[in-house]
Amino acid sequence: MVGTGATSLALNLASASSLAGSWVVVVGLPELGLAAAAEAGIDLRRLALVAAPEPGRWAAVVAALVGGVDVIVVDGRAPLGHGEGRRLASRVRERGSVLVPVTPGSLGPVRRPGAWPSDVTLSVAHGRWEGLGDGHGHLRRRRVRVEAEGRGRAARSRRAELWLPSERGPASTLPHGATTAKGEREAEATVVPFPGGRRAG
Amino acid sequence: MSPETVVRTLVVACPDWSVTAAGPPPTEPAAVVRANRVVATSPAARVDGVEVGQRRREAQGRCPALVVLEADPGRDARAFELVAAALERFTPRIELSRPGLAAFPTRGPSRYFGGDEALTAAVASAVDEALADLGWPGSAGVGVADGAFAARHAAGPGATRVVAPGGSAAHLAPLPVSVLGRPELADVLVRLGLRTLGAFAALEPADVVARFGADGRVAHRLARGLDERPPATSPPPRHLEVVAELDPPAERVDVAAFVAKGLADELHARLDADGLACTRICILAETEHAERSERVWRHEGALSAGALADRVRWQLDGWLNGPVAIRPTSGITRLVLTPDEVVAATGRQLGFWGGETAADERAARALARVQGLLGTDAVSVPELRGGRGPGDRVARVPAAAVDLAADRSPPLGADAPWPGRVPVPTPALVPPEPVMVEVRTAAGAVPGVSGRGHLDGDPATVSFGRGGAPVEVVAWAGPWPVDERWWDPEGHRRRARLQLQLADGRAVLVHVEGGRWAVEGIYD
Repeated sequence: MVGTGATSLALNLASASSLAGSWVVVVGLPELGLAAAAEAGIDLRRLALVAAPEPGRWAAVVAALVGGVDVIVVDGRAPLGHGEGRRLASRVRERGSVLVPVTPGSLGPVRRPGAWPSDVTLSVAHGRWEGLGDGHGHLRRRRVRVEAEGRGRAARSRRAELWLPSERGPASTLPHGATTAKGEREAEATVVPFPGGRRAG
Repeated sequence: MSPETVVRTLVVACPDWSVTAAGPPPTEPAAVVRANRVVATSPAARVDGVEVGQRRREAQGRCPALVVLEADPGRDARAFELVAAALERFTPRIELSRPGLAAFPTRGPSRYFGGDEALTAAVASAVDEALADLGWPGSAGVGVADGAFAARHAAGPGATRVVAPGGSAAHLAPLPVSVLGRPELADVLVRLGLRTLGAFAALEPADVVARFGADGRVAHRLARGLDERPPATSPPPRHLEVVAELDPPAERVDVAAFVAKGLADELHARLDADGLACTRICILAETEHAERSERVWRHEGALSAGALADRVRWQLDGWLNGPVAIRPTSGITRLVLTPDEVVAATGRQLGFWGGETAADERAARALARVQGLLGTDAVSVPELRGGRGPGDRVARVPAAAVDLAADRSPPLGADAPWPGRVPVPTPALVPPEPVMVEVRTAAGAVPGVSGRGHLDGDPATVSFGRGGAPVEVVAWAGPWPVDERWWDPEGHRRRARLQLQLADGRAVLVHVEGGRWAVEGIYD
């Protein structure tokens, strides 16, 4: 998950598992808004936060969580070597956890992301907020176009239009073939599957 | 009440076992802490007012010289092997509930040693000898009674006691209901005016079941001096036994424990298939040189696969890493798990709000591993609180301070309306410290908020960082003025929050305080 909207996207992806009883652990990302996590639908009783480890220990910490925790959200800006990334990827596949590296849009310069493994890269291509006027109203919802690019089974690139967040909080898809604000018809409006399509039971 | 035979049992109870195992002498104030709560204390610490259940901070407050030790079941089991070995001289079949609490049926040994009193005295002196090696002579209690529960409560600290056959119920009658180890039940009973086990035992069993359910029935049976369940009439089916041959022999605990984990899972699957749960398990390990370690472990509820594997690890740890005198001379070649007592699986009662599940258990273990890597303070969990700011509504509390598997419902007032709160959605990114920015009106002035909550100019541009290029504000809302902690001269702050939508598609939550603007959250 990269760029503007990446954090909300990650929280919403994790919320589906969280509601099904899975644990979600966030490694790093000290600026993550926990109230927003709750609004996205993550059960705070099954959320734990791990402080950012020292540079050389990210792989060890994430490896310790793989298998024990179903969804691991990790700061994509954290340094990780290519070899470590590959080893971690095979461990994640073997144990059936989901690893979600997030590189959020930030105010300052964006650091070079580490070599975190990902089968699918999701990015928000176009986002537009609604509800705010000139000194009145408040942010209600944001319409985004999410693009997915991947490898292997997920190689075909896909797009989806979502409310992120919707007015009720969690993300919701727009109906198939809905017209965008500009009037153009979207050919495809599907939710992108979870990275790799694997989930622990 | 139909006469029911209860197995006459001898219990050896070491009340402060976790402290004993950790090493400090009884004269030193020490406490063992798990999840930030005191779980065991030394006698010296109790004198200073340290009690089980206190928070670590509170215990240290009562006794500044307190030695705080982390709980380690492996260490407890290793040390208890010394006591278990001493008991094995009396009978081959000792039963462990947990490290620090051992029992065996007295029928055979009692006849051999010439009566319960003689047996008790012999056991007490043998246990004392073993405890003297650890520096805790006279700390264990030995009790004999009909049923393990009565025997355990006959065994006071440092005392021996033999309750006459048939006298268990009378012996238990004056004890308070809290000894049942069921705080919720005890609380209700006390409020009903039933303060002692005798008063509780006098109730009709049918009434107890009707009011308190299956767990109440177990407690009632204990109060009447019976075992938790009526004695099993037939031994468990043989096909439930699981065996693993280890080749090459396992010299180290972790290697054997790995095999044990697989065995425990297999046994659990077989029990599940038969709709059974195991309450007592016999674990046998054999070495190349035909040395054996055989123990029976019992559990008041049913043993889960994880609990089974833990017990195998404790036993092997105590045997392989225990005192030289009892350590085997070669690697383990064979492991056998035999269910000793099975009951129909009624399903484990989950907590009222879901409570502990397998996923919680796994997650707690994984997080414990991370705590081992990074230190206990590295892991925190969110806790809902009330508040106005985006970062105030949920706090991060150290995971060590809460029991992850227990229910953690939000405190009262967390959902209460907070006047001045910015409407949802809440920013997904909240920088730990607000980031200073420059906000300008179209005319280039810095807008401010008046005491009445009016903005004196529309924000038109924002620049991030020093000399950053200004970004156009396409829409905005606010201000949401906040006057917090006006009663507190130190904590008093007046600020106003605004939502800004930027030309590049981003939206941010900014606040102005004393004429300075800062980003408090990013709607990422």
